[in-house]
Amino acid sequence: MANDGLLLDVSDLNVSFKTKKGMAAAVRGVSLRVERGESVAIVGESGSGKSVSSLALLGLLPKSAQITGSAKFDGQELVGMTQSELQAIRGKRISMIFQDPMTAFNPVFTIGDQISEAMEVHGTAEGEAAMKRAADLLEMVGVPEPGQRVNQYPHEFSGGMRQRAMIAMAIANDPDLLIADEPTTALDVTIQAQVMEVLADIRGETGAAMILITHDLGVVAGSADRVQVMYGGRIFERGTTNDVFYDPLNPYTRGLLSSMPRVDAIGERLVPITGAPPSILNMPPGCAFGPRCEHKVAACAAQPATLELVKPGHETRCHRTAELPAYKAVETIA
Amino acid sequence: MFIFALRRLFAAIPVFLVATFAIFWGTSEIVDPTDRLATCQTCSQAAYDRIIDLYELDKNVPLRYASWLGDFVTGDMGAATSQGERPVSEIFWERGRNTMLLALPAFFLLMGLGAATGIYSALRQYSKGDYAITSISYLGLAMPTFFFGLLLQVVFAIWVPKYLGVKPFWASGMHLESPLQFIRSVTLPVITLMFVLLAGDSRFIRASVLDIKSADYIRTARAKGVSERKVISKHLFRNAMIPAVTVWSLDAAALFGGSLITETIFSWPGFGRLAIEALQAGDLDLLMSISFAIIVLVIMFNLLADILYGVIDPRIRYD
Repeated sequence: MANDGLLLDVSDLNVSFKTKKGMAAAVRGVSLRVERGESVAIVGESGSGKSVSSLALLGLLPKSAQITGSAKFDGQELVGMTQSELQAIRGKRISMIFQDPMTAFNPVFTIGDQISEAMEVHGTAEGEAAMKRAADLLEMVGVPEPGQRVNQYPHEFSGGMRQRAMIAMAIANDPDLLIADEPTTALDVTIQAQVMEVLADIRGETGAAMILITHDLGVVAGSADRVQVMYGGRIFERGTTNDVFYDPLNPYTRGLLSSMPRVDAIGERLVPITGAPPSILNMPPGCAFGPRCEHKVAACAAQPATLELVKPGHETRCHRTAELPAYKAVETIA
Repeated sequence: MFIFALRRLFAAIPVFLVATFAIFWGTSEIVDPTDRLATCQTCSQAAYDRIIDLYELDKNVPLRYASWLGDFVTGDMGAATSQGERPVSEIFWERGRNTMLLALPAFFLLMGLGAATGIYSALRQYSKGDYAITSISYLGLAMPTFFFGLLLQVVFAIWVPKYLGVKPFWASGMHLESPLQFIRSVTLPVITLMFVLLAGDSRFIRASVLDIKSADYIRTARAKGVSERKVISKHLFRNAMIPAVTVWSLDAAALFGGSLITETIFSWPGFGRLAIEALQAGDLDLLMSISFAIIVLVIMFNLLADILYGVIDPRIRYD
């Protein structure tokens, strides 16, 4: 293969939903490349299409979704795959970690049952061997007394412990790619850091690549190699985590960063982005962020900008990239 | 679990006392056993006195209730004056069995069909099949039992024999001579008993499956690579059973207590008909025993449902 380091290559992915008011385009021309072992974050507000694009890859969207484009996973085309072909990949080579651990486990089966089921459906372990491995996995993710915990039900686990169990279930078959969809959003701040640490440790041990979907830039900073910022179903900016954080090119990314609290900027006021994200049923014809952008000109409302490479590995989608003032981060006290 | 069941049975005692007293008092107000002598020209004063004496009608209601209760707990259910003075227990066995012949097939069909149509309807929401099941359910909910029963009789006992020349089902009476005759005689009453309940069950199960099918844990199961078939038969089904147990326990109490209307329409000598006969004849002892039996049934099925919840749903545990 030409590029054997490349694990996932998504290009021109479009997802739209059939609704009573016509087709609603949730994801528009998204591309994404993930190398083996790499961690890529997709950042955006709710409705930006970040979760939909990952669910689309695994065929987990409702039947009303229409998916076009290409998504090659290890050379195999995922778009247009039959359900049974996808079933062989789900949970085996690509695993998902969901947002809300309180509702993501089935309340009527034990944690051990649910983790070993992941192995049994793919034939990697059966019966007692699967249960034994489930306990080992729980130990790996830092659940105390895993031997007893496998026999407990989800309601007997705390939120943080459940999310650890969720991670244990996701890595049960040693997948090549983990998709973590807002893995810390439903958790306490103190627990959030622990869960991200567990994820990092696990990836260190298994070498799995990760797509981290989040709206929380704080989570991204410590755990992603590269970042894609999404808005209105499109990618607005992408680059290495350092580039995007310290030299954001796109007005939307800059807005996101200045609306985020920072520990090193005591006394600074947060600057919110005015307005609300557009509804996918009623997208502006031009730049999706245009109506909320402080740098907008007439051209922005006329047609959407294209994603342009500004410097190696750093792209932005904006009509005014050349004219924007240089980014000045908030004054730090250090 | 055993302790829980025992505690529930003890808690049922006050329920039983209050319910039997209320029924005893109510029936005493509306049923006068001496009525049956009012139109009797040849009856002597002695016959009248005998009834007064039998039911202790010269005493007040609480005293009469206490006397009934005393007899009842010592195992004396009295003799049914409206049933040729046969012992109540003997009549119960006979009529209860006849009601079971209708209620058992109706109950199992109801569980199977209710779950099948409800789950199908929810999984294929807004399909033609869903619309068909929904329409029939509304018909069932809207149609009174007596009308539906009579309709079945008209179709299968009058129109079908007249135009097709065959009589597939009995429209009246209990026929136990052979398995075939049994099936021919229970078919129409069983359908009648089931229809109204089935409509409600199917709608209820549909609604709960609609909730469950979009639950996060269903998506988690799919994301693990579990096949669609197993997602439904394992993850969805087990959760759908929790609310279904509730409706089934209510159905059971309604069916096994005997149906007044269905048994009357189809001349079925069951428990429901017995209640009407006792009421019409002013047979107080029999009426009280019937009330007791129905109270016991309701308490029992509620207890059974509570135990089943604990078996299906680990979040509910009794200790």
